[in-house]
Amino acid sequence: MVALKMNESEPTIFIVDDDEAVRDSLMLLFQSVGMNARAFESGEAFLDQFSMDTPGCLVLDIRMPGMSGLELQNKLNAMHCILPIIFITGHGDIPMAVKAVQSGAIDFIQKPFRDQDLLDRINDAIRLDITHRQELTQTQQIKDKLATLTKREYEIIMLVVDGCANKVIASDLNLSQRTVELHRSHAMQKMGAKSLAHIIRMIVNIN
Amino acid sequence: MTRKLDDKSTTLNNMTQKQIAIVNTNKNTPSALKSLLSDLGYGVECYTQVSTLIEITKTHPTDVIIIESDIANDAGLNLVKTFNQLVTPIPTILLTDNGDLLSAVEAMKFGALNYIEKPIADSALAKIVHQACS
Amino acid sequence: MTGDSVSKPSHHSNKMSKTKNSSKAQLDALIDAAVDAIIIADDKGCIELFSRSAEKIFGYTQGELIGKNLSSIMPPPYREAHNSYMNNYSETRQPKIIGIGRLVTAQRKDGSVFPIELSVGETIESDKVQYIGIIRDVSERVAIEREKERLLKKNQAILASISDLILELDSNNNITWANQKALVFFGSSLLNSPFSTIFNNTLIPDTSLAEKKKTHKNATSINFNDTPLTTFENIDQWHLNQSGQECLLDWHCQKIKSEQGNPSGMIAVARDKTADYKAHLNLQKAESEAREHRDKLAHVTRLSTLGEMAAGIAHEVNQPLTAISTYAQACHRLLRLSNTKTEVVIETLQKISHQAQRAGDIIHRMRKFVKYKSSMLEKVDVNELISEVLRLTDSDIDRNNIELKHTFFENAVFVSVDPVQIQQVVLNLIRNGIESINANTEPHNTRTINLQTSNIQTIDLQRKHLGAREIEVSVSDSGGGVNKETIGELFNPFFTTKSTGLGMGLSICQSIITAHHGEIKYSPNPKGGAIFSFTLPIALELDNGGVENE
Repeated sequence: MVALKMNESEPTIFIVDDDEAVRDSLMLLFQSVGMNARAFESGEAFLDQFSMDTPGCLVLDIRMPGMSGLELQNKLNAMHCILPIIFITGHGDIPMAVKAVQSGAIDFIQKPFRDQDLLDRINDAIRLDITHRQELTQTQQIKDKLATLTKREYEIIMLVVDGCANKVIASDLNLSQRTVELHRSHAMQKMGAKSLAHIIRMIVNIN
Repeated sequence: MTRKLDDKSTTLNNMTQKQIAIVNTNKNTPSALKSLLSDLGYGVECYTQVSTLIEITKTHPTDVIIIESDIANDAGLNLVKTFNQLVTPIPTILLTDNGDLLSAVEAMKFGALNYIEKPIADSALAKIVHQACS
Repeated sequence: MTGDSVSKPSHHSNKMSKTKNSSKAQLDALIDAAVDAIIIADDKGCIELFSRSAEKIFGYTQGELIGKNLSSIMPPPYREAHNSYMNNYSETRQPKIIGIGRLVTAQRKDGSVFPIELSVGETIESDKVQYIGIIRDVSERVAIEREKERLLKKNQAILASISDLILELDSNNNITWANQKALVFFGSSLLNSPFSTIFNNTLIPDTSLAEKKKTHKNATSINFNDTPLTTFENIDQWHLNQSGQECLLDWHCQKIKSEQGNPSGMIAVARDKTADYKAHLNLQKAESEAREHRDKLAHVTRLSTLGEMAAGIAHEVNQPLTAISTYAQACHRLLRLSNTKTEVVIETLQKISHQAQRAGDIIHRMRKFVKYKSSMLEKVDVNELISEVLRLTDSDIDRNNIELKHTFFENAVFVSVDPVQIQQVVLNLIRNGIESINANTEPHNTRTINLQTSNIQTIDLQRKHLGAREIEVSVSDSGGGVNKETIGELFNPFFTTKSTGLGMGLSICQSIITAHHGEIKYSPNPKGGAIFSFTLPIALELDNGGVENE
């Protein structure tokens, strides 16, 4: 039912666990706190059905027949999927936990867990994901705007950000100061930059 | 006196030799680790006082810090945090013989490079240290 | 003195009959009809008459002997001495044989010497002395007597050499005779006492023996009021011998019948089975010690196996626990919401209960597996037994990404086994399969284990069970198989290719299967990998519903 209401923009908790009872109980828990969740019985099923665009987090069992949790993590990393992963494991295998965190897992929780602990971490993860995605979106927007600049405009904006005065730029590029001012103004308009400080922040951001 | 000599030798080899600090607050445990790593060509210093270690690392370049056994608990975790928050963080490896999942995960989240349960094969340890130094 | 009578030796009976009266003819007929040989000789020993029976006995015709000396029919040294005997008699008149009859030896014409019973009479008519010899061939009688004596001596020798105690009883059951062994055992006061005094004087031996004695036949009391005794066999009784040792005697009793068929007494034979019995006890003890040893080792191995499986089992128990915990916490939250439907909570509580049951089942299976008990045979279905093992290995199989296929013999196959020990063997083989697959570094390594039960007919020459039916359980894996060099060592204790574990696995498997009268073996899998298989005899069904093993 929860899955049906799912909206791509609404944060979703993805559950991947081979144990039906564990999946079912987690679904009920998330339902009880009004969170959006979807459960998958295997890493393969998850890869088939999930969308990279859906924000949220992944609650992943580490030991599963077929694709293990760590294998799924590696696959997602290879796909540059940024979905935060919280591993849940029934077995305190330290090397696995170390590996999981080394590979970017944000947490590794032992089963059974206190519901509040899990929910807190999930909330943290979702917040983190949303922030990440926003950052990514902003970076992308800046990159998109940068792409609309002409070669000359781009050249001049980069020198502006580097702190060069119009006069210096004109002499460097062997242009009239007026031409430099014109390109600069067009570029600032295209980038939607309100001030010099603003454009500097944008460029630093994408780097 | 010995400290000075050690410091000198450390300095002498500084250019080529990777420096490893081992901290083990259990004074009674002679570190087999020290001889293993020395044999592998690393410059190795052992510390039993956490405060001494922190002081020394301020002035002497250290490539890897190995936090051994009994302090792979809260104190160990704090050390991990401390060295990870330096302007130039120093990689830390925890080596324990009574590890638990919780502290492993905490240590890793605090930025430890690795968390190893003893016993570990010398070759495996050598590999981990090598990776940590490069 | 009598020498002159030599001059009228050679009367022929025919000639005589012509010259004598009818009484003489009667006498001749009598002589010829007599069964015994009749020989008449004069005082010099010269034969005057040689009867028909004499011809038959000695093999001479009378013509050959008339006029010859008696010594012709005597064997040496009597032959040489005879004349002197006769002279001696003539002079002393002291008879050595005349009128007495003696057993002497004679010689036939063919030279053979044989025993005769000889009686000699003498007639003196005027001054003519004649000796009449009546001879009976007693070779047969003597032979019988000698045989009798030989048999007697043989019996004595047998009785002396036999280790059984032998008693002879009269018709009143009194002991009339006992062999040496019996006299030594019971003492000489035994003779002439009633058999019941010793037979019913059984011991209740010391408790340990008494207990074990139950495995033997129980002591039987014979009613001695019934006379005579009846024949019986194989009655075991404990007795105290003269040296004060407890002995187990196995009694047999046989009637002696008179010619008329009436019982005239009994022969009672007792065999001392104490040594056999003690050997039997020792064997039993050794067997039970070996069994106990095996049971303990099997148990320790199970514990160790379970230790190795602990991670998997913990995972398996943890899943339902996680579900329970999560369901319960979700319920708690749901109940705080105003719009929660009761049905949802009820349904969840049922799920919680179900998960608790699931965790309990896992723990139950595990406890059953590690519990120590001395091996007890139970009649169980092999397929059922193996299905239970698969529940134990499920998590291991899943976790190691292995496909386990099983092909069970279509019908239930009952075997009489210690279920846990057989499960241990199957578990061990499956786990070996998993490890072998994991250790196999071949790039195109498939990860399958095939488990099969099949019914096989075998002819077991050793056990003389023609067509004994057995079930075979085989576990084949797609691992690397077994190194040719190490095949011979596979079932040796402490043989292992792993870095962990004691290497007792296959060794204990083998001793378990052998103790169940089966066989375990390795064969290479034609598709690559190993096949371990074992056989078990199929249980025979008995009327009482019990089970007979072997």
